[in-house]
Amino acid sequence: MPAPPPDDAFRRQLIDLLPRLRRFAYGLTRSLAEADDLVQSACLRALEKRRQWQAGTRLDSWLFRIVQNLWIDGRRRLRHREEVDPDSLPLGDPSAHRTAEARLTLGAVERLILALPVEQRAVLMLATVEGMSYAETAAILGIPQGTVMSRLSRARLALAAALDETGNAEGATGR
Amino acid sequence: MTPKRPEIQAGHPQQDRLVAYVDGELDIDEREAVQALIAGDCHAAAIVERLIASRDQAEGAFGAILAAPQPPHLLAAIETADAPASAPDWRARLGRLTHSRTWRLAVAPAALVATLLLSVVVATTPRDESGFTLASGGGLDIPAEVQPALPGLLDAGGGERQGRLAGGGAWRLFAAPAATPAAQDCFVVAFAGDALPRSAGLACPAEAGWRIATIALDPAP
Repeated sequence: MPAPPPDDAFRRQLIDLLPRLRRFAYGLTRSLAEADDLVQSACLRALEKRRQWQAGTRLDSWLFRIVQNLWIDGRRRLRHREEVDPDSLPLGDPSAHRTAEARLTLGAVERLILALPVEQRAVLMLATVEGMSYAETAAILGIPQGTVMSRLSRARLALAAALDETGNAEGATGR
Repeated sequence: MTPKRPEIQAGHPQQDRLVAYVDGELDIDEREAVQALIAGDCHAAAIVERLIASRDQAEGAFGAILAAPQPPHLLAAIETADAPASAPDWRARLGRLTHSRTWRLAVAPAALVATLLLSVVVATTPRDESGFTLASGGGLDIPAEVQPALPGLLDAGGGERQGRLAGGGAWRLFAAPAATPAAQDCFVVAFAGDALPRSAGLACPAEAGWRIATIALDPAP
């Protein structure tokens, strides 16, 4: 059957979403390989269930929700496996050159985000890194908006406090 | 010695609202209330200042992933995944169907011949009052007295039913899971009866009941 599949446009939209889906999945899994597995499963599921997607609603929100649900399912199945200890994550080289400072600073934020508890991380990835509204974030994660607000505020305050500390530490060691 | 900033570590009784304020999630009344709070509470003001700075840093986080080329295996998986049930590959499905045991044992030569001889017809019709769709003129051609057996068979996960028609003559009805990722939760169904048209179709869950698309229809022998 050489006729072009009628869902080419849908596949193209999925491909356009890939970078954001991978970023969100990475925030959840903290591993690029796992993130790619998760995103691939989510995209295949979206293709399979595409008739459940209501045209006119946001495809990205739907895909983020599928990623989140698959991630939860996977964690449930692998509950016996211990979570990665955030302290074991690579912390970068504090004596790196000044020229790399911009990248180093960004790396610090990313490491701090990845060290947050998973519930806070998911909310932060959507509401802050993705810039989604609280309502969209709540819908994607399937939690009340009040829960989004409380998790997000804990995450953001922790982030602000930690960035403050690293900023001071760098200032102290630099001079 | 790292001077801590206790005002941040300690948080603030209204920290949820302060974060929502920074994120532009408050309506005008709440916004004005937070602005009044900040004006008279330097602890809150310090937190808001830090929240803004950290948000600006977090917004660009993981930008390297956005900028990176997409992994080829991911692109290939999306481009080559089976088409969804709305655009099924009927030929492949029939191939799988005709290899199933149910089909070989039960649907018997007639329906198989029908699939080979008849062009593939895809038809869906509106649901009837019972919430169960039976296509007329294009879908499964099942006598009215047998129709009630089908939803139960599908809800039971497939199987076989048989009986005799009021006017005499045996009938058999089969349903087997479609066993393809593109049509999960769907069943291949077939009806055969003495001196009755034979038909085979694909039944998929619909809002209230089942929707059946015809795979093949064979006129009465």
